[in-house]
Amino acid sequence: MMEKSLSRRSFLKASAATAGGAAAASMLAACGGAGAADSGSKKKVLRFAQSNAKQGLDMQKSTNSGSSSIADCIFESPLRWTEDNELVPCLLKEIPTFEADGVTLHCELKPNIKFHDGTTLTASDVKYSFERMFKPETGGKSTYMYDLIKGAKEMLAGTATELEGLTVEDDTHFTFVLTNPMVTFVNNLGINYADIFPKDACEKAGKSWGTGTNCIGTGKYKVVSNDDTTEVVLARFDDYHDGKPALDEVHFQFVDDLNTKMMSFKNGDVDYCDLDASQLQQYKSDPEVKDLITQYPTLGVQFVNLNLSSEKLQDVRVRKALSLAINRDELIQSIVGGAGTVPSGWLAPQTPGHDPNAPAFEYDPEKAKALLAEAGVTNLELSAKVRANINQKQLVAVQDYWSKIGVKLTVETEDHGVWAQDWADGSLEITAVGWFPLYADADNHMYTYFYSENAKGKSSFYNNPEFDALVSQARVEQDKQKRADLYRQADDILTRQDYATLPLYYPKNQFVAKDYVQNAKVGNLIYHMIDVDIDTTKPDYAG
Amino acid sequence: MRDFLLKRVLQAVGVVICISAITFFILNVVPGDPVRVMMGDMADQQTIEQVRHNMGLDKPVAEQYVNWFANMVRGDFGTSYTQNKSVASLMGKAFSVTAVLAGLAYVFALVFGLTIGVVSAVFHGKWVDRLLMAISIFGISAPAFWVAILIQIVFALNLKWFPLSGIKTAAAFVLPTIALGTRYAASIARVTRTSMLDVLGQDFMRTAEAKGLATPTIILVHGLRNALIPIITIAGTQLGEIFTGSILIESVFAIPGMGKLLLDAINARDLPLIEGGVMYIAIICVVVYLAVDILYAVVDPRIRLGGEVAE
Repeated sequence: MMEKSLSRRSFLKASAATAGGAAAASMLAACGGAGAADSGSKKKVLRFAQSNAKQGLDMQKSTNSGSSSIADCIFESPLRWTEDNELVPCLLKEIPTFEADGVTLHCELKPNIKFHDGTTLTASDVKYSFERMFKPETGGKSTYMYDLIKGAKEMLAGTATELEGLTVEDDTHFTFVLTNPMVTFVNNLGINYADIFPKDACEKAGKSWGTGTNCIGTGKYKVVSNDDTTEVVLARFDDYHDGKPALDEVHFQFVDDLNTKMMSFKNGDVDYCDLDASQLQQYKSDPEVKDLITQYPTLGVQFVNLNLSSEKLQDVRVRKALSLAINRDELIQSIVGGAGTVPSGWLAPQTPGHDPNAPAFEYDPEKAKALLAEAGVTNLELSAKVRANINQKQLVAVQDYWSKIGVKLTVETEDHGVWAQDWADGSLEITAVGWFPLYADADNHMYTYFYSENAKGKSSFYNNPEFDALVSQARVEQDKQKRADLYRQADDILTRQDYATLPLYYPKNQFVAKDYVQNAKVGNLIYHMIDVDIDTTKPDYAG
Repeated sequence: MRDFLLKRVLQAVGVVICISAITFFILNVVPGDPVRVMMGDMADQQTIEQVRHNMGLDKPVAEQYVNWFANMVRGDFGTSYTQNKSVASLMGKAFSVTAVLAGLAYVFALVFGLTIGVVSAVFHGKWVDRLLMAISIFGISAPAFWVAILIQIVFALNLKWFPLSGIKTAAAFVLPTIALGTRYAASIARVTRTSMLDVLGQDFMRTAEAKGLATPTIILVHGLRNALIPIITIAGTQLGEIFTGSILIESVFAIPGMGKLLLDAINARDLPLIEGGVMYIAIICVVVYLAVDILYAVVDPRIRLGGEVAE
């Protein structure tokens, strides 16, 4: 009796609840869909999705390429690296060259460049921006790329408040003076870390500069809204100094989850986003997406880092055997779905100094076994520690290849913070690393990693005086061809004579963009929106 | 009651202080360098040391803790290493999002859990009961992220009823609410059913029926109320979990809540943010358990707070 009575009532109530819920859901859905209505005017609005670096957009404090992709639209540096790896003038009239002393660099700004707040860029803003970078309270993360400016180290140490090596002559002229020659300093003026900020606005914003709408630059697009967590909305800057921006708005949407990001792309919520290598195979076979994938080479290299202070890795024949045992072609297919090329050295093909005539690293396990026998090595046991990312997959594959020549590799995964500490302490016997220089110059590749003093802090301990001499000479050589030749020789010694490290592949990255997105380009992991346009005549573009 | 509350609040303060000290020292003892993580692979040693000094991380751990604690008491949880913003403002912003999501998911879990549990108990052994319990087992077993992706594909990608992700509209909260609340609803349903079955067999239920009371009154007032103690226990625990355990759901639906904030902080060794997050979790747990204890007394008059038991 009770059961039946309750049954009817309950089901009536449940039905009512379900109906109510469905009605509410429909209403909510209607609310959600309202924003997508076609206005008819077809504004050019680009929606780009990426994960949120959560480091703000002040590139003196952030080193993240995601932050850079947004900052690249808003701020500008004296020079600019294009996606074709060419250094071109941006805020400067022309690319400056050092005086005969190798340390004095005269620069001239283009006249009448406006910031988004209407003020005019002057050389004082340049001086302010560089001094801000070196102030201890700023917490600049890339000061090492500019601290050869006279007085920079004193500022960093808190013993000086002014940058001695940067003098302002007038509104458009200023001069850098370095403590010692370094030709790559000019290259460093072409990356986001050298962004120029308007003094008054930046001072006023204080610590919040680079967050919210406290982002005022000279770039093609200005910040309209920025909640730092879900979306940054940019609008075109009509007073831009170098042509009219093509887009009306650029929306950077933060979506950390890879699956959600790609579903948003398929769903039409996003026009353009990167495609992770782990998803490449899946979307290569997706009929809706496969034709919208663009793959591009990076400047980086993925490699096995050998700790040359280890007794087991002293003999070059052992290191060569370890290299010969790796089937790189197969590894690239299995780990990253073919998104890479078999390397022939350390330097990627777009980097001056890459040797196009060098053969790709060979796969020959029999030869590897013979070399180990020749070196008198049996039952070699090595240990690797690695971060739980693509590097882990690489080493698991390498573990399998090395087992086939009788080398036992144990692979242990470490938390990022622990790994970084161990790497710097030099305690990793084997690890895997991806190294992506900031632009196409071998200095950031070879000197930074393998110069003997630097190699100690990267669990490499490579120490070859001949290599050191070549990369040191290249740092001061002004002739581009001669520099490239020095690096070509250095790469040959590092990877093909000494086998001091084992390059695995030159990685390729990929993105997806709807067919109405034009000129989508990436400059070494940084998405360059400044040339992107939208073809509003394409039927897929809703406007 | 007043003495009980005072005692529990003092205990809670002690617990929170202990947790803050333990967390601070553990985070500083475990291997891993927050400055290196923050600076990235390319930074040189000199810059790293300079930043470490600027952040005060080269000072003794005890001194760092005393400074941190003194500031925390004044409401200043410090500045996030990675995001360069005050921890309090970051957590405040994230909590406002998590509170909405967790609140909705909790209401969803309670409404569906209690309804399903009561209906199953009333129809004990019938096909309705078996069907609802099979669904609830599925709800408990299915990983939250899997449910999330499944409903994203069905309701956002294919049917286009709801937004796929984000928090721009109210509708955007529907799918994450379901994804987060499903497991909790299923647990509550199972406990409710078990507890209700115990109560439905009691003598006083027959007495209530013999008195001619309406069936809903018998079930809900006499039955459910007496079955509430175990339900409150599990629902209370879940309230703490739901406010602190939505990391995956927040990640899948691109919701900038507390879970995501803490996960990123842990990965980045962002010590002030982790400390702030641990304090948040500790305070939520302490408050929830206190509330559960008080609810026991409200629901069951035989329980007297402070150790007394009614005769």
